[in-house]
Amino acid sequence: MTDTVLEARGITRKFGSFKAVDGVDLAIAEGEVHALIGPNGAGKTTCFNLLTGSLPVTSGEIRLRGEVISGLPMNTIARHGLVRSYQISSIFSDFSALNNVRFALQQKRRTNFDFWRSELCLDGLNARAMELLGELGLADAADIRAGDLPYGRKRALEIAMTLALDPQVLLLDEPTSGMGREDIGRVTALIGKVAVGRTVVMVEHNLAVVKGLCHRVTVLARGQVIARGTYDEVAGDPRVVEAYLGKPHA
Amino acid sequence: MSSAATETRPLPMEGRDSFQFLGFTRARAIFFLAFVVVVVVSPLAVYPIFLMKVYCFIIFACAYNLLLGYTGLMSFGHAAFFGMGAYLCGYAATQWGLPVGLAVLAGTAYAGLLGLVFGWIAIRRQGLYFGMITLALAQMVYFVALKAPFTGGEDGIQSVPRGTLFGLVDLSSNMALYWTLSVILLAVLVFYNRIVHSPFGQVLRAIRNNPDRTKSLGVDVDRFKLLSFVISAALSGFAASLKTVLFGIATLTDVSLNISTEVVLINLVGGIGTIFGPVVGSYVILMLEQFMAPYGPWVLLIQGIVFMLFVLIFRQGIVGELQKRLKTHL
Repeated sequence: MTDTVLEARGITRKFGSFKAVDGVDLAIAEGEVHALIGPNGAGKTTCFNLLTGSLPVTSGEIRLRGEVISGLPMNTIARHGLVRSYQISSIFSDFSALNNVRFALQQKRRTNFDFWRSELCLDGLNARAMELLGELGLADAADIRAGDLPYGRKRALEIAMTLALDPQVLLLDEPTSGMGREDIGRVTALIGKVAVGRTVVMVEHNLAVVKGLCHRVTVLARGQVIARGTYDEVAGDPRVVEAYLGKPHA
Repeated sequence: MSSAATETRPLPMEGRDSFQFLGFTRARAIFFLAFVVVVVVSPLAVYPIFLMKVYCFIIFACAYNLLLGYTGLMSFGHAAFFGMGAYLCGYAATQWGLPVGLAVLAGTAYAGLLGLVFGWIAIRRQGLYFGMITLALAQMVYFVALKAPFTGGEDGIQSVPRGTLFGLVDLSSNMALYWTLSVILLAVLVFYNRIVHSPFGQVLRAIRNNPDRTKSLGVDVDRFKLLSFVISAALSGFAASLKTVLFGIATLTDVSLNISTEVVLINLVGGIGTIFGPVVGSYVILMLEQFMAPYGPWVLLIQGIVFMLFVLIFRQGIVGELQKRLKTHL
């Protein structure tokens, strides 16, 4: 049995009287690629936001390598090694692609408060930034304004920035949403590549992507876990079929 | 702000050229040196008191641009820091008898302290709400300045002595003061460019571009916003203290809403988010005021027209347009 890296116990989030996430338990093992799936409104994204600290939990506890992280602000959680990417590409559109990754790398150094030094001192990060861009097939885009990149490449850039932080756990929020088939194939291949040796948790709608990438799957419906296991196991589960397709009539 | 940020720009990205002169890139170094020449030559042709006033406003506009252009925070209340800096400098010089250097320092520190308090309150909200909080706080400061005994109310603080700088330079001579202010101004420009183009400046620009993403990368965004706000406030107080030394007075005008809007206008005309925008904007706006002075309130009308012209047609400001023409960053 491998170690549990990220663990959630009974996490709950209420919006008014509505429980968007209701007592969810999760245990993510070292090195696994884990998907959170479920029909619309199942609470996947809310659950994801709880894990990253974007939203505070109403009750329950989240631990990263045994350390309680629920209740900490998002930036502190990121410093602990739990880093997220966004559903809508969230990049620095006015920066060059290289500078996007370099800014993420800067966070690993303690230079954020250095106002007396030239930013040229950050050039030492260029090599590593180029390496990451290369890993995601963006080497030729280094000096292009990030906002001018096509959609699929923005996603790739976003993943490169997330990887730059060298996260213990990588959280991907619908990495292929809004993409054409060609881009989906490309990004799926990229995620498969970067997932090697890393722990990844993703929310994903596209079940083909989940099937191809993920070791284990947790299925949510109405804020609760209704099934967990490998993709094939949960795909055959009648409760999952019911959640997606509704109760079979007669 | 967001619409300006998403506008596609034909400008090339800032390159990976390692040339630096006093921390300026090649294009900025050329602009800077040209400006040094202007500073040296212009008192031959222009009334030095007017030039010194422009220099004070350049420093004030740089302070404001650091916040608006590089951190993406729009304050409508910078008159509070400018005015209070001016008052405290004047008070310290007249009532406490501090030498001019220390009086300026006191004005700067006080504005910075005020910035810490106001910033701490205002950064809790974003965008328009942030702006409205700064405006409300500044109006409260105006009221205090009007009523409190130490500001001298309608009279202000009069006959602030210029004194001697560090016991060496007698500032009562206009030209001695001119060269002192010139050196200070150029040093401020170097300092301002250094802050903007440092690892710290990178963080500020990232916050302006995408605060949420910056936070998700592990940055304590609020802390950096506050720091930027305090630096901006202190530098505003510094500019105001110099102005007080220059004219020997601190009045209600310094703390009025006009000052807050003027600094926005200067940056808008010069170029928000550029190093030399505050320089160009200050010359244009103050010259306009100077020439229009005999026509009284007409200056407001002209300012309004200039404001609309730039918002509608030259959104990047003069330096922004120049950047496009020259295909380089200034």
